[in-house]
Amino acid sequence: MSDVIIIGGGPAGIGAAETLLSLGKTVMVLESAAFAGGVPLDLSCKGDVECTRCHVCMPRDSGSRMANASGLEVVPMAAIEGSSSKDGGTEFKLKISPRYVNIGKCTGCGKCAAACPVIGALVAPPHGAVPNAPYINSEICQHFTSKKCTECAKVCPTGAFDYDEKLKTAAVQGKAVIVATGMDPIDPTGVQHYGYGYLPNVLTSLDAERIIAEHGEIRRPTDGQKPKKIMIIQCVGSRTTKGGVEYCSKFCCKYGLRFARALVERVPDAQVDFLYMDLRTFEPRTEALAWIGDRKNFTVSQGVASVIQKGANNTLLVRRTTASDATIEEGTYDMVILSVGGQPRPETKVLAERLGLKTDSFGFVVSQDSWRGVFVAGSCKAPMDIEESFTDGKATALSVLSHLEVKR
Amino acid sequence: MSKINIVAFVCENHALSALKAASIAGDSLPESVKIVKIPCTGRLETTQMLDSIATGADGVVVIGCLEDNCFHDVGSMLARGRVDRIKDLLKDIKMEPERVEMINAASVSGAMLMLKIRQFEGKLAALPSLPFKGAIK
Amino acid sequence: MNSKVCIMLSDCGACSGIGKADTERIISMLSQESAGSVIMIKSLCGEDARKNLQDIPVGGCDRAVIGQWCPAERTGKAPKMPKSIDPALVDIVDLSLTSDKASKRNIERTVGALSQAAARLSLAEPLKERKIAFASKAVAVIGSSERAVAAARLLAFHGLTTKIIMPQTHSMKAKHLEVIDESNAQCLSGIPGNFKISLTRKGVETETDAAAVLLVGERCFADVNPPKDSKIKVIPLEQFAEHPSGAVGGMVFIDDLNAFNSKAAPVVPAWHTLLEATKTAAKDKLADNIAVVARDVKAAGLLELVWKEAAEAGVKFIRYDDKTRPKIEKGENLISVKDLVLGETLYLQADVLVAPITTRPWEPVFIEKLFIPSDWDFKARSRGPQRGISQSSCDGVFLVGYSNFAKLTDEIEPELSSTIVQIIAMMRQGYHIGKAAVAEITEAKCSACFTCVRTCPYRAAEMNDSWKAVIIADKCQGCGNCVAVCPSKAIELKNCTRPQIAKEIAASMEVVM
Repeated sequence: MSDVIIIGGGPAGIGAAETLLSLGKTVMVLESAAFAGGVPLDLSCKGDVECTRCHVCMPRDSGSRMANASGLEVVPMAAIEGSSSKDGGTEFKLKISPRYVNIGKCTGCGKCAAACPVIGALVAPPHGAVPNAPYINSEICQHFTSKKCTECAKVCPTGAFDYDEKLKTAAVQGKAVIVATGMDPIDPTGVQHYGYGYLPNVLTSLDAERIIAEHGEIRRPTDGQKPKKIMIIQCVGSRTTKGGVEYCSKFCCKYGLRFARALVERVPDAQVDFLYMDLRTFEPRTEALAWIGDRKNFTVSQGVASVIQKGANNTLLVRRTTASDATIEEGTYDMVILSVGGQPRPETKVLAERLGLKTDSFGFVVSQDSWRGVFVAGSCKAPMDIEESFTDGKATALSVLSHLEVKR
Repeated sequence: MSKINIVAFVCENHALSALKAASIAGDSLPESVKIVKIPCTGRLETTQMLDSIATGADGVVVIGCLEDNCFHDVGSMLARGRVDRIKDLLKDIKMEPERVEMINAASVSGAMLMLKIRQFEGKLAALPSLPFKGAIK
Repeated sequence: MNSKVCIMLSDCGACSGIGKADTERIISMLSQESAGSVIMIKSLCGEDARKNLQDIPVGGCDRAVIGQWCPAERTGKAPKMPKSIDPALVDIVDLSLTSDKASKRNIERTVGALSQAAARLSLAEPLKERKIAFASKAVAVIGSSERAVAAARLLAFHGLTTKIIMPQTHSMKAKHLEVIDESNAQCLSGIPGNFKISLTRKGVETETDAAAVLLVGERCFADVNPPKDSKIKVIPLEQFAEHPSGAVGGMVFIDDLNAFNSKAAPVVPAWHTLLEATKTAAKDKLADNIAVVARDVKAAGLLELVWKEAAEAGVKFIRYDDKTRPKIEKGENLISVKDLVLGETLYLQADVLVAPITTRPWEPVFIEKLFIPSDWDFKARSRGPQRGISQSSCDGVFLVGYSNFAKLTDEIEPELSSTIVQIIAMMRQGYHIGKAAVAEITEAKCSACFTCVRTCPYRAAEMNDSWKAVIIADKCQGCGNCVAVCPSKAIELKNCTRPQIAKEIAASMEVVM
């Protein structure tokens, strides 16, 4: 039985795990994806020369430090099928999907990643991923789809690949449980007037991050060229009663501004316009915008984008209000990035019900059961950014410590 | 055998993590790049950058943490100041200032770092070769 | 120094991708340049292979470079050290870092990486880390706010000897808790586990010890002066939130009292408090007209819903921008502000103006003496993410609250809890690691310019009584920044000396020439 089972290996789960390990506790992290690390694994650092405090590296450095820690066991690709109280703790029945890589045999030599002919099939662990070993995405991998390709297995020096790995089941127990299942990005397809999904070069911030991760820089999906005029629209899917959620997702102002800054610094000949409803950064506004200086290629303005339409020559027309004089403007862009918010995962509600926890109408977990040792950390409780989730994970570790040690 | 030499001074914090992550992802360093690990780019002195060129390097790249997130607070900022001074010196002696560069990299930016290293190598390859290369030991 | 480096290369054909012939070629190229022996060893994966390494004849070498094809820390499979060599003089080289992943040769790269490591190692000193047990068993909390008291109590509750240093008197009593009241902390010195805090208590200079220090940021009540020429009553937001009162015609909440001037001072607005207060004011009908004037309505996260409730209860939210600040109309209880959405100027009845408290950052002198990392002007800076949550650049000194970076007031609680649990972990570990490769000053060369003292991020360089700078080895983290800034070149960093770097650069060139 582990001292603590942490469900979800995002920033909150990683923060809690690192702290509990440093206190000598045994920790098991159940993670639905192939790596523990959460959303930060998909995000890029927003600094070019100067750190912009985007905090993407903070939980990932933490993951990297504890990847080989004794006392830590990470179960990736795990789905919870059932739970019950047992022996004073909680038992979870798991379904573990195949990774097709034997983690114990992998030496991290990188030869498989170099040999794979399909982008996204052999996924190498990003910095901070735990376990620090690749996995095969069987939906894209040519071995599974058609051609029985075995390039990765051929170059692997230790024979770590097993294309025949099957689904497994397992039962795991922990004295205390931390629910840290985090948030999913909001799908802006429901925000119909923005045309996401059918207008070309309208991306979410996460789509843009994936392009940057693949190419090392931002490019238009339609023609692979660098964009010259980019519009970043904040609050997409948040603060709305149509096609999204009513609350404010909190992290997007901080994230959006830093993302904009990274774009401006790395694509210096592009024009970037940033459109926000309210600027909810926690540092004072003057500090948050100080980096702009006297740059002419970046504008920050308050307003609402009412519609995005297709323009001539593969451009996009964005119609928006201006805050200062209540007029309406139209601008032409060759890329629009929708800064989407986040919402709790549907699995969170199911898990909460299993564990006897309450969720609100949005799906956030709003109770915990410290008597039975079931705690909640991170953005599955309320919208949070990376730093706040990471901190909350550590704060929850303090409650867990009391539960494990203080005699009643 | 590569035709050019690049000495890369790499800090043992974020810069090295980025290179390791890139290595695990199958991204190979160009052969011209020789890594010299140092505890912090702030350790690096201007003389060491110049000596590298004097003893056979076509270029020097200093890779450190992002400023204001240097593990040792001020190291990468001091290093950039020194790299800028060397660039000015190179201009004064009619050498190309592009031979010495500083790259700030976070641990998570392995792919971007490799891209920048390859771009640096490309720029160096386009420069005329140094006349005194190999003369000084 | 008469040192000889033995270079060992593992013949891990599969992992290296290099055939035996090429491995032998590498060995012979290395032998030509190396003074010490060059040995091919069997693969480093199996238990037997690692045992063989222990007994390998190293041919009179006193130090060894081991070329390994898998990143040792990734697999946890570090080879056992050869018995006859001091482990502090063994360098394991991760050859996969510099190899071409798609190649089957990699000869020059491997020779290069191993030659460089051997060159560096040939001048190295055998140094070991030291575990320095904590001399003090106490945690010192500096701060007098409610949060500081709560933190101190929580630490004491978890069994840690805790001291709280505060300027006021306080009558609290708790097990494991010592209250050092009527005291002002002056200066912090020492190393983690053995800090000395000098303080003045009731006018007398005294000292106390601590293993870890927690600084809880203060908020001070700004002078909430009523604006000139008007009869508007100004109430601090915190005070209003605790004791909401009303029965006035018009109540205006402002996000920053300095909004009326042309320069706004930074404020960390307590938006949670502000929104709840307006909601209460509206629902309890504490005024006929309630308005909020703010640059940005920072109702982040689920606070958005509180904002909606307040708006539905009749509170008007008006945003101003940099060009059109709110103005106090002279002589009347009126505040005028241009509504950005409507485009017209509104006149708000303001019999009561509720404004949040301005926070005051730590005094520069306090920062300088108490290890809070600062920029060159000694203004407190926030820590970089590499340092983690609440850590200052000195291990064992933690910063929480407004002394750290800007955050909402309801985010301070988790920050405090996360810091307390880190302190508990630190105290349970009970030792500080003294780094092996520290900097060292050659006394004769030191010109007492203080540059290293000012540069060291860890305050490990100090001027002694003979006007010579010295490095406190137990504090030094081995970054080498002092080495590079010293104008007299009086400082060297062990195992990263100038001769070592020069030799390594030369070795990296040799392969290509």
